[in-house]
Amino acid sequence: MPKIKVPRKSTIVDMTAMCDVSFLLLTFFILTAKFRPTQLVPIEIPTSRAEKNASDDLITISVDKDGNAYMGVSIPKRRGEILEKVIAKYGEKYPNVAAMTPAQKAQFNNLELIGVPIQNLPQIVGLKPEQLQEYKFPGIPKDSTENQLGEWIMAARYAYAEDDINKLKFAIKGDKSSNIKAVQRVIEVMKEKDVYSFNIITSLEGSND
Amino acid sequence: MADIDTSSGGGKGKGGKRSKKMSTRVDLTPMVDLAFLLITFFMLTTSMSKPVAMDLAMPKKDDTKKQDVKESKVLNIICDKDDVIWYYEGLKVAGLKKTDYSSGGLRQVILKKQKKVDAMHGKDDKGDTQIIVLVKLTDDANYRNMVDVLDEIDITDTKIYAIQDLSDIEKEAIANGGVVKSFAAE
Repeated sequence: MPKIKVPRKSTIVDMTAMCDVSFLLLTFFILTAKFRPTQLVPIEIPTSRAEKNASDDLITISVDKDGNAYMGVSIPKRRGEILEKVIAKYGEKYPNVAAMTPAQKAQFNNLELIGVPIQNLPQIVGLKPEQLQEYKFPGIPKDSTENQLGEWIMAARYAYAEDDINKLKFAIKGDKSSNIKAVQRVIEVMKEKDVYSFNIITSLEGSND
Repeated sequence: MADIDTSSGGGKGKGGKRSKKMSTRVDLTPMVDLAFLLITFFMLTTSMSKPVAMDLAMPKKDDTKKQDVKESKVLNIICDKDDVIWYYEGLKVAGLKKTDYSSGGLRQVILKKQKKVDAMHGKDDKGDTQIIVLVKLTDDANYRNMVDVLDEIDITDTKIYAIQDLSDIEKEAIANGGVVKSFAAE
């Protein structure tokens, strides 16, 4: 019986291609990953099963667990426009705000979150990111005696109206444990300024934060 | 592919000293291992927490026009402190029942009421149930409670709902542990 000769083949597989693919994937994931912006004010958002992604051009009113309100504008260019409107309104009352230099206004555009009374704005814009992290934001006054939050909302409406008012979208981002009264006050302020429809920012149920 | 051609030109150096040919092929397996390890690591540590948005529409402030609702369609949900939910059906508070935020709690309450409403009134033109859910929040409730209730409303596909203020009778009933002592005229 003739022996069947099995040709000996090397068992070494060329790994180069696989290596290429895996590094390509690695590079892709690293480059597409977006860093989470540092939160100046810690807010733990509640979870829900809503599936709609939050829009990119959004004005977020945050309420932290002490019930303080903050306003965040997602597009930096809009921040400056809104600031101009606020200055137009409060310039006389607070000369230090009206006297903000163009450099200070540019710094304001980099602020993710407006969390101080209007009269304190000039002090806050010069702070470095590390200093901002440590700064204790008092929040935007929202009670009826000094309703600055309402003025910011109005300013946002004016600023957007010059472009396209339909792009204006408000969202509420509240801390899980914040008292309902603070959130309801924010909703009330928004209603006073004719904002009746808004988003509620939540995280997807199941993700751990 | 990755190996460099080390064979020298032709068969020229026949008699010359030939240096030992070393394979330049490198085993890439550990590198692949490493790459996949990194991919796995990055994928597992990335939190996929893109915020999502829920829509909420409030009634207009000057919209004082009263809407007539059939009492039998209404379900009231009251969020109280310590994650307690009180609920009752209809418009008159006869007694409050307690439930919680688990999927066996509030969601079943809404679904049960939906079935009842469907049996009584049928579905509307669009095929939605006609249940009306009124959400009320005590001052001690927190924001998560509100979002949880709105979420349950969304999950159960309830189309008509509103956030309202507590009435005095409801406040009294909560203070009495769900029992209504005095029947005030509605």
